[in-house]
Amino acid sequence: MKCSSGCTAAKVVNNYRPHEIVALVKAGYSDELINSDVIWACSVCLKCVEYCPQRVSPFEVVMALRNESIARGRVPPKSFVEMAKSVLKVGHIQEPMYIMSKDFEEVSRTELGLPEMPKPKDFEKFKQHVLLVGFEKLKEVIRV
Amino acid sequence: MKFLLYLGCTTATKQYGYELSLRATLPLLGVELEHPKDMNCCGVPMKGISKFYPYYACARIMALAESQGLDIIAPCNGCHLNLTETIYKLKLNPLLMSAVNELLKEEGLKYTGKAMVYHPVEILHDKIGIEKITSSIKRKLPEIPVSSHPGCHLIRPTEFPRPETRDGPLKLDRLIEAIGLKARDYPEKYECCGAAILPYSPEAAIKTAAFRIKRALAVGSKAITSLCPYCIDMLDGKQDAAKTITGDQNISIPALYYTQLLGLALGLDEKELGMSLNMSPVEVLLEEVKV
Repeated sequence: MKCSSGCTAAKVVNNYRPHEIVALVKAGYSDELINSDVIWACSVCLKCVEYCPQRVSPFEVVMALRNESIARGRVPPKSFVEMAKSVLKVGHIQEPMYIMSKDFEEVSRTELGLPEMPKPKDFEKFKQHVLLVGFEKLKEVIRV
Repeated sequence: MKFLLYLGCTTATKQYGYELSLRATLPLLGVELEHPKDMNCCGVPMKGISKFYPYYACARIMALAESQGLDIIAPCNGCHLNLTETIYKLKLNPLLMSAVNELLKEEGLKYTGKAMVYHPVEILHDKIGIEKITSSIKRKLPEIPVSSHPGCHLIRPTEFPRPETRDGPLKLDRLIEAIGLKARDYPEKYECCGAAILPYSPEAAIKTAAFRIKRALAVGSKAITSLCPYCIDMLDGKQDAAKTITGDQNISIPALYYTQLLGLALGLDEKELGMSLNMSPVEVLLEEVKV
């Protein structure tokens, strides 16, 4: 199984094996996978896409399972919820943070003389479109 | 050469050292950077939420660049991959293209496929060129062994063009040698930093990064360098966490952006390059570089 032997996540997450996920889908266990958190472990390194001698792309299978789990109203791991919320709030997965420098100064963009991080201009329209292209179901789940 | 600097979320919200060093070095080599007035996330971490969001998000970014008549510099590997994938997939799928444009029309935008996307490694290696870099630097840095970590999305997938390839020397390695340093291979060079495992399990992600750092130390590298905000966030920012999780107190190596090293060679001040924001012991490298 070239995909699982190369897999970044498989080395550090015990029950994550791309070849097993593909085999489970083929055997009709998609529902079980969709209801399991393990599909969120993929590190998106795309090695499985490159290594598979049969040109199966386990990565695409995992992403399809994730999409389906969202479409069925399941809540993804917390960080994904936070990122999605932020996209619906400011158009980015997070807002500029304060970072502690080695001189113990708390700095963000303004202190460093960096220009403001731009947001989508017509934000309401942007948000409407984001919901339309797949965030609608998530909106009900995370209540934004 | 003028480009629209599309920073992406990670660089613009916490990896300020990358942005500072890009803004400090590229103009010295004849590249003008335009700051966008309207921007959104490229959608890479949201692929699992919605397959279609990244296409809309990326087409929107490129439509904005087209409206200004500019090409894009995307310093993040993830953004660069997603933008390239969108160009490629929309070209092959006119139906998807018109669906995306239908949405963009309501925002007064149109994506035609004209805007090009470049990663800083392409700008430095292909547009500026090694020769110009060698002739522009104020001083050659000493021959210290430095390992490059290009990051997954600079080389994968091979389905559409990527800035780097595994066949032959990396552009990033040539750039390292152009400023005097020595490019040192290490076994984890083409591996993943583990950043995208963070939302699922921070511990698993940090273990991944720890493994990379240990292997770089094992071949005698004095620093790790990359041009990906996710890689540096993991390899530079998570060293303390890696010590705690693995119990290995030897995990300590300067990890910094190539543009920071380039800045030093161009005679810039370490403060201008945001080097006080690196969490890893970059001061160790600075000492060696200064002599």
